[in-house]
Amino acid sequence: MTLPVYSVAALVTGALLVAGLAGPLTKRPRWAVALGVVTALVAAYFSAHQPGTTPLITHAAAIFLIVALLLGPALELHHRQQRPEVVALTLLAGTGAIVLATGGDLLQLIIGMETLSLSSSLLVALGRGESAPEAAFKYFVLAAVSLTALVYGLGLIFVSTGSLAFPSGPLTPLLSAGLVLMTAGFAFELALVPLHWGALDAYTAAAPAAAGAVMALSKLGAIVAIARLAPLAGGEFLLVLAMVGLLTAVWATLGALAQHEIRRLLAYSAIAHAGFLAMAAGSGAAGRQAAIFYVVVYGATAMLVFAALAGLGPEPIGIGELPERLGLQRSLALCLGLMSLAGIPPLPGFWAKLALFGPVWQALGPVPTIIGVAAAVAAAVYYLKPVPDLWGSLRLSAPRPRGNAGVVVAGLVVLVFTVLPSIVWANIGTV
Amino acid sequence: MSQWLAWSFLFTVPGLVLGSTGAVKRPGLASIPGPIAILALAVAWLVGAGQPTAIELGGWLPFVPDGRFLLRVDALSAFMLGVLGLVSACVYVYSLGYLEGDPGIRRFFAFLDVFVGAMALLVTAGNLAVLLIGWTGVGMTSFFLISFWRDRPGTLYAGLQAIAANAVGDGALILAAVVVPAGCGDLASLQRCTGGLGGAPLLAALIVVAASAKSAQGPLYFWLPSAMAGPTPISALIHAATMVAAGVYLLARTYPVLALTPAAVGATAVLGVVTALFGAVMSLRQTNLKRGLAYSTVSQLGYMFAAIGFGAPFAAIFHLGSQAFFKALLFLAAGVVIHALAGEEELAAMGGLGRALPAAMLAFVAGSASLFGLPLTAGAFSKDAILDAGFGIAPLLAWSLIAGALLSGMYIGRLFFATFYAPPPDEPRHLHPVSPTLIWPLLPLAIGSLTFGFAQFPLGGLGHVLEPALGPGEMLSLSSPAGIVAAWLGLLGFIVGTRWRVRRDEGARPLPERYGWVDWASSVSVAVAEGFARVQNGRTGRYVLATVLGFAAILLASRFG
Repeated sequence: MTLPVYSVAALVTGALLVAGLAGPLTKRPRWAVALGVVTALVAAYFSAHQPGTTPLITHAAAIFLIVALLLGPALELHHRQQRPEVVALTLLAGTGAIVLATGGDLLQLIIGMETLSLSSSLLVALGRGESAPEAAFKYFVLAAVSLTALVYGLGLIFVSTGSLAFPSGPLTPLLSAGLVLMTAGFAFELALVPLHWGALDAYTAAAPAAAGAVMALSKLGAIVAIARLAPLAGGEFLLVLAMVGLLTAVWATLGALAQHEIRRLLAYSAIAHAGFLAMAAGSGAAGRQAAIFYVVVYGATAMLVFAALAGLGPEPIGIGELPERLGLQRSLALCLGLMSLAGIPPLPGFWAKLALFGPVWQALGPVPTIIGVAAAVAAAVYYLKPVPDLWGSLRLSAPRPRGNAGVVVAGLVVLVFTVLPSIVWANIGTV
Repeated sequence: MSQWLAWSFLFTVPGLVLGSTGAVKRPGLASIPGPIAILALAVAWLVGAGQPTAIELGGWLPFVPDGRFLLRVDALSAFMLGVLGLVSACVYVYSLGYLEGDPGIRRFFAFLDVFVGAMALLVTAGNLAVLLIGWTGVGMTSFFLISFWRDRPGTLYAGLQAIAANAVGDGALILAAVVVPAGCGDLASLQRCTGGLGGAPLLAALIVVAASAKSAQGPLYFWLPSAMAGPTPISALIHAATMVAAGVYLLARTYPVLALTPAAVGATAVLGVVTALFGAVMSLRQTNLKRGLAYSTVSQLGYMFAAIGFGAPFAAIFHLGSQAFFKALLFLAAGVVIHALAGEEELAAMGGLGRALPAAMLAFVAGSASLFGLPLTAGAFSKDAILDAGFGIAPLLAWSLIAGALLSGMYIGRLFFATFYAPPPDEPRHLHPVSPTLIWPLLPLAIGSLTFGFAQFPLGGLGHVLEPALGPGEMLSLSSPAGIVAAWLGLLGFIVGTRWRVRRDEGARPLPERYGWVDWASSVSVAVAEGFARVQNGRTGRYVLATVLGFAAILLASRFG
């Protein structure tokens, strides 16, 4: 895995350009979005011929960025001057995710993670409503706590090996502790269970237009970093990782079952999917491959769901109100997204589950797999509850809130993954 | 021709597109050719002895042991397609009249089209991966159709019960698809795939669990009576003739794997017999016409599971065909009554309708006769096949099924009398006119209920056609003692049943039955939700403490794990 230097440079340049031109761009927000989309496309192009998994990660991040940018106009901001800032922050969040995933040494991983966390906190804070800044603050404070763990772990590794590179060689207790701490720090970004508190509130409070990007990018970056780092700490730690994942999946599924507000439901669902990702990452080489497949597919689905909800305002949205507030296109998109999250074939969420449980069975045995499968299928109940009402309210003419381009792009990506899951799978190199 | 039949899961797509976009003015009309095409091709294949064929697209799902897109057409799938095509064609025509004027009628036909496509995919699936798509697809559309009426209370809850039960089955089937060794998953050669963890017994157990969930057997029966909250055409098509039979189809298709584990086969027999008797007894207690028929379906599916358990997959499939005819007929006839009474389903509000609705009454008689096993009807022959197989393997279970024949006659006789000949309620009632589109579809189903048995008796044609897939089919005779006893008991039961008065003071229960344990489960989940709200309480200090403790816990676990 190599860091796609030109792609990262392109994204940073684009972000700085938008931020620098923030004044003139305030009056022409579409130009800011266009500039951002072009930047993402350029970054994807630059990484197209890199070896290994890097192109897949960069392209996935680029897709998430493009959808998020297209949804940007739906964000209700306090000040118009914040419009270009949102574009810059989104691009920086993407940069952070890519660096976190593909960084060449441990310090690069930390830099990527912090870029991602900081940008995410600010994107969460920018939404309207009272809960957004508060949730962003909590997320920021907890990110600082996890940064402590990360740097402490890095220090232990440096003391053991004398370098900041990915460690190889014999596993001393100090080295092992360092690796565990660093992986745990990335697990915070992934939002695994003993570390998910701030993420849950942040995902709930963020405006849907931003929440999707924050979720998708953080999971993309974090799971790849974990997949690269955790095996170095030995097989027993992989088992711990997988069990933490199982615990997360069960916890979040239980938490989600009783939610009545759609954004909190989706936040718990994101935590549950993080749990499945961790289970996969702890299940050997085949599991790591499945984890990368899962995160790309899940990210696309999350973008679709949040694109459907974008622009509905900062107040809580009860699940029962959805049919009246969504037009035809968004209702269909939400149904598709919810069914994919529930794991209904032939949607990509089902492929992801199928890819995941084979390696988990091989690595962990029958009992954890059965519990995981049970959590996955139980989740179908809460994902599918709103769907009949959404189908029932579909009318050929209905109100259309803004931001539809993002819905269309996200929908197309999900449909491509439905029919051709191998397009993702074939591009996963060894991890 | 086999190639065409393999793609039959796409035949309803044109109807779906034309219907849901409004390109064809009359809702539902665009969808009618789809099932008819499936029926025509399937019959042509069966009668013309078409050649088995397979369609294979490799490399589709690289992450499962067998990830090809594999479709296979053989005699068994052609037979299932024929059943699907015939019953769905009747139901489509019937629904034109039944749902006329309903604002959601386009959505209804769209769901039906998706269902038929998914069911066709299920029966033509060549490996577990494709089977899973069809399997979950029919479960999804069943959910959408059960909860079709958004303005009636309880339909969503009924749909979620179906989801819950289906989820168990889906989970089992997903596990089956991933635990087999690499390269394994082809349904025709699953018996060679027993090298994985758990081997043949695990695979058999998973398949039986999946089939039980889909066919409402054993503890997973509960969703089927609740599914009656959906429109009656759906009860006829999905919850009587096709989807619930998918479990039986799966057992028949994978019988070679099951046969490797005699305990699994025996368990299936016991499960089938127990459920057959349970369903029959429960039907006698119902005060709602559709629920009475739903429990009857549970019972009849138990007979099919018992057949599998007796080592007679042909008998199970034969009975699947009979039940498709007579149960769909019974439901559609019930639908005529319900439609005439403007949605009333309670037996207490019925009675005396024999003269006003003669077609429905005659249809119900035909269906009942086949159900309780009047000699020469389809149901009689197929039940004979099961009983004959049973006496060879487990006589006690077979005698239990014969006792069940008495109960079958009783419950159907009770429903028949209460609907058509009991004294009507005192309040005057106005019968809504019944359009011909509700009556004509009854005819092919009635003919099938009465004559389908002759496909096997006396020449054994059906058994011969299905032999490559299911092994030799049982030859039938009119003089088997078990068959004669069962027939007389059935007739006796029917007569007794007509004397059974439904208590009139029980009143209407508009909401689906709430089962005690489901209520317990929901109060547990409320408690869990409150627990979560207390933990995830928004207090930053708590979060920081919990996070730091979390890091510590992970570190400790990795040192001592």
